[in-house]
Amino acid sequence: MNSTEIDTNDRLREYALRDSVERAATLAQILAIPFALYSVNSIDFIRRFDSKVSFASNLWPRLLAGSLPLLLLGWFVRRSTLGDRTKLLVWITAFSLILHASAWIHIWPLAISGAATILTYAQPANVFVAAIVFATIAPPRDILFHFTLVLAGLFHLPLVWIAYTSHDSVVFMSVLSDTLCSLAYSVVIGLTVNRLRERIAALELEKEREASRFLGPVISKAIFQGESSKLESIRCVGFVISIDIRDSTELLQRHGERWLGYRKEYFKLVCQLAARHSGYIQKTVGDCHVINFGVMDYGEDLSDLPGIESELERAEERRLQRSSDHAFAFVHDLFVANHELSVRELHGETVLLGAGIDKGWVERSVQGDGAQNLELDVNGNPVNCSSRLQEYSKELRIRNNWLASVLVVSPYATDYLPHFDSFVRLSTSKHPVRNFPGIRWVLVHALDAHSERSEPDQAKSKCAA
Amino acid sequence: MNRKQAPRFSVAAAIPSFLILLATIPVAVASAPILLATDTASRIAAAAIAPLIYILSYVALAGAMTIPFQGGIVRGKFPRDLRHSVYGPRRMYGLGWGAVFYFTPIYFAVMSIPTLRKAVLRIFGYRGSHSANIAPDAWIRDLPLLRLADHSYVANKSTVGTNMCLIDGSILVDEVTIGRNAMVGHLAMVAPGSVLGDESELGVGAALGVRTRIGCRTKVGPKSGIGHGARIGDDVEVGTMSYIGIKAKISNGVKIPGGANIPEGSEITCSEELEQMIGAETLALKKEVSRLRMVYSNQQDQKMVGGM
Repeated sequence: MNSTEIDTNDRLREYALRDSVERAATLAQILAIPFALYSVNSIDFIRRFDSKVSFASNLWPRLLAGSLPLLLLGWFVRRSTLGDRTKLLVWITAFSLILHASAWIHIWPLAISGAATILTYAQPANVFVAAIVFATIAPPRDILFHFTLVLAGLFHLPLVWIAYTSHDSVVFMSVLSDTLCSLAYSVVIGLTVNRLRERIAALELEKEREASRFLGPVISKAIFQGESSKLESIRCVGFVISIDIRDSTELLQRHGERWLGYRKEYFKLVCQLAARHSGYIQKTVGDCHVINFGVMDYGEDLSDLPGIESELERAEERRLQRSSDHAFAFVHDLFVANHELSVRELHGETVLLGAGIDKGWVERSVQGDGAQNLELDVNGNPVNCSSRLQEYSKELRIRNNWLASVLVVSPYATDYLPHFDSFVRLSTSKHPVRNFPGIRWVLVHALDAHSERSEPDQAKSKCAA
Repeated sequence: MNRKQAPRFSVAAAIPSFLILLATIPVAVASAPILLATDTASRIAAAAIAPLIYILSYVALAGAMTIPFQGGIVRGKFPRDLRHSVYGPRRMYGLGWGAVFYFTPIYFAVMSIPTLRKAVLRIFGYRGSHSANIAPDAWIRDLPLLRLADHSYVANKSTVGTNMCLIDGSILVDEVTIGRNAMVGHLAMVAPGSVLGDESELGVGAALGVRTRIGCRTKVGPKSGIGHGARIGDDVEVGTMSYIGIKAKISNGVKIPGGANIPEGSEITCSEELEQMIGAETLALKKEVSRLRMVYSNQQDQKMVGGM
């Protein structure tokens, strides 16, 4: 069995145990009611064997030794921090002792003193309770044996012993056969219900897996595998890219169904390339993607450890270098792959993209309303700035009549570029970036529609014009 | 951080009372049968079982006295001040646990008898697997934060550090998770917040820093150091006496040779990247050696010329 199978089996077992514990707690609290009722309606048949038994002497002991302990048992199982397996064993032990104690209220003492027939009045209730316990709780197979042993040892065995010592062979055989049969079919019922529950648990696991495909690896791990640290709020420096398809409305009108086919493939391409370059698609708005790098995989916050500041700085430098490499490689690969895709899907027509990239402080957090919709999102100035730069790329393309996919880079995102050969520096003094007048210049990279690789000279000549 | 309000009492005053109770009550309980026995044979029998009664009453009392303070065993960073609402209870818990842990014959007996071991660990708040093997001289504390999975192994003289004192006068407390069938070797150290994956091995004398994550089936070689916050994937081999820097990331399946130095914040996704990194370091070192040789030989030449 490989580790994935072991993990799946472990989780199934976990589900099954947790489920059983929950049902055991509920059952204990529900059974407190019939036990309380029994303290009232059992007086009639007890008085047939001992007319001196008072109502109060039957009611109060049964409430105190039966109903109340059952309520407490249910509460304890719910609140306790013991492991699930231990809780189930504690439950069956306590429950068996409660049954045992309740049986000593008039019934067993009367049976011992010669009125053995009283056992036949109480026996149907015993059979019923055993069946209900096994059917409701359906303990997992690995503790079913202990479960049965405890119940049989603490309750059924003393019952059979008392029937035996009553010297009434009819009563003894009746009690013995009822006990054996009820235990046997209770175990079978329990096994059957347990198998059903395992199938349901397997289906739930399958649902988790399906949901994970839509939630993505980060959120699905955080929710289903308990890695809740991935949903914690953090502030860090990261790269954000905003990327959009140019003239998509026109292309849709021109190509119709073929466009939809291309769009589907394009979205798949963006997902694959983002994953390959360790990016995270935080938002999709129409054809626009907002992708961050170096934020979701930020790692542990070690700021609370003194004495490692210089090492943390060096680690941060490397992280940002790596995120920068990933971000720019992603854009380049997407531009190239998109050109090939569009030529293939749209019969030779090239679809152009526009992208903006910025770097800065962002905050990753869960936002929204728990009752409606929660979202793991990244917010900060770089998100807005990258979007404006993406729009700016459109302006540049139109103004200069370029037939190219254009990437506009903010000055803050250029720190880790190894060289600027494939970029052109443009001043934004005449045509500032909307909402960001502080950005005085940008770097521009253009991938010509008819080239497979970026052409710095072509871009430079385009930009110079 | 999960703070609980400490009961209003002085920890400093409670410590001597705690110790006095622990020193006297088990003695009284163990000697009671001897004193109450009426004949010689009973007295001898009572004396024979007195050590057992002493052990059981000692551990039961020590454990029971720590139960009110187990709420203070929580993750976080706290000042080392007895008056602090978390550190105070931690200290009391530590007193009770220390009283058992440092009483070697009792601790050895406890860890040797499975039922007793289970009961004692439970009393002190342990919720992990009882099929885990813990050597009697392995350092463990803060049992509510110790997550040992089935059949994991913590070897002798190793340290599973759920808490760590820091130079700034605080203490860092966090969970430690040791996976199924995983092994913490002799003299190895695990810092707070670390996770050692299923079937992984931490070699002799190796150290895991704070909040490191080691994947499944990964081997960390003897005397290696894994820096704080590092992430090591599945099926990785970290060679003997290697150092993986702070917040470095090693992807699944990478084999790191012995003596390697992976700088802080690096990411190694495949063996080729690793070879390039090691190659670049070696090249840089060789260049530096050549430069130093040249400087030295120039100095020698100048001395000779000066001498002439």
